[in-house]
Amino acid sequence: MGNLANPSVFLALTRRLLPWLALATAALFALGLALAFAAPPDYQQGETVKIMYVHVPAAWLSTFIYGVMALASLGTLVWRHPLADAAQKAAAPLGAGFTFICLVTGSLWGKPMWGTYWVWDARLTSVLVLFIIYLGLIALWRSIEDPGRAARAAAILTLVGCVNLPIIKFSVDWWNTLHQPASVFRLGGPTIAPQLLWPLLIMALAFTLLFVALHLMAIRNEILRRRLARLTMIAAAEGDALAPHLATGASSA
Amino acid sequence: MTAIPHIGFIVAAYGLAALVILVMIASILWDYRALSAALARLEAARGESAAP
Repeated sequence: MGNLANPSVFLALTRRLLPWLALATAALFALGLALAFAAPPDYQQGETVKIMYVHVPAAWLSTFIYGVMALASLGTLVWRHPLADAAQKAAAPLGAGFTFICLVTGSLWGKPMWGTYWVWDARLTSVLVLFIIYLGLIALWRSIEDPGRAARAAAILTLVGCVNLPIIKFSVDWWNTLHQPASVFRLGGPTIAPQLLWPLLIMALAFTLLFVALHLMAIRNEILRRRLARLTMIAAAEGDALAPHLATGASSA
Repeated sequence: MTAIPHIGFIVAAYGLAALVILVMIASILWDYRALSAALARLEAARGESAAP
């Protein structure tokens, strides 16, 4: 972890890791999709169960990414790790993207199975709140110009938002919900048949590796953005009239 | 040949998931290209101004 605090070391490591990660992710997606489409239909859901192979991994990632952001926030506020705020900032749009996939695919599953695209039950509503928190964090990063202040504000909001994670997880136990209870990670073991469970686990691994690859790429972008901002300021201080023009198009986000 | 029930919902779910994932990959790659190009231009300009 200490070495990774050095952005040059991180960039070199990312350069070496990314091709292998991309290859492993593509292979797992190919295998997972092949198994998912070869899997038998569910006795109740029929072929609609195939939506679960994208919905469930996206749902897991939506909370996992928030956990990563919470750790990064602790890194910013407690350990003051130089890359923690970059990791937190880079993860927010990815978290929003996977949560959006979770919400919409769940809705597309709900219509044929429940007869409705949406109900305001505890699980669906708490995941919608998670999506709104992700959007709020992205907006916060963009609205505060000073990166240090933005990082601290986003870290505090992220940690406050952690209260939503147990609500999402246990909402199906605490309240009467239309959403079914946990069927994979539960004390008595999974309730899903192995023919349906294996494709699901492989797709979950593929989604997780995809997130890791995208997160590394997005952190690399943040490092480059900071380097660009620093060099632009140095050039401006040296009276280089070209500097503001050169930085155009790469200073936002 | 029997039509798969609810095929439209299944195709829409996979299509939308693929689209969102592709947009995330493309935006990160586009950002990387823009940042790398801007850095290269800035470093080249600084190199030129530093040259005798």
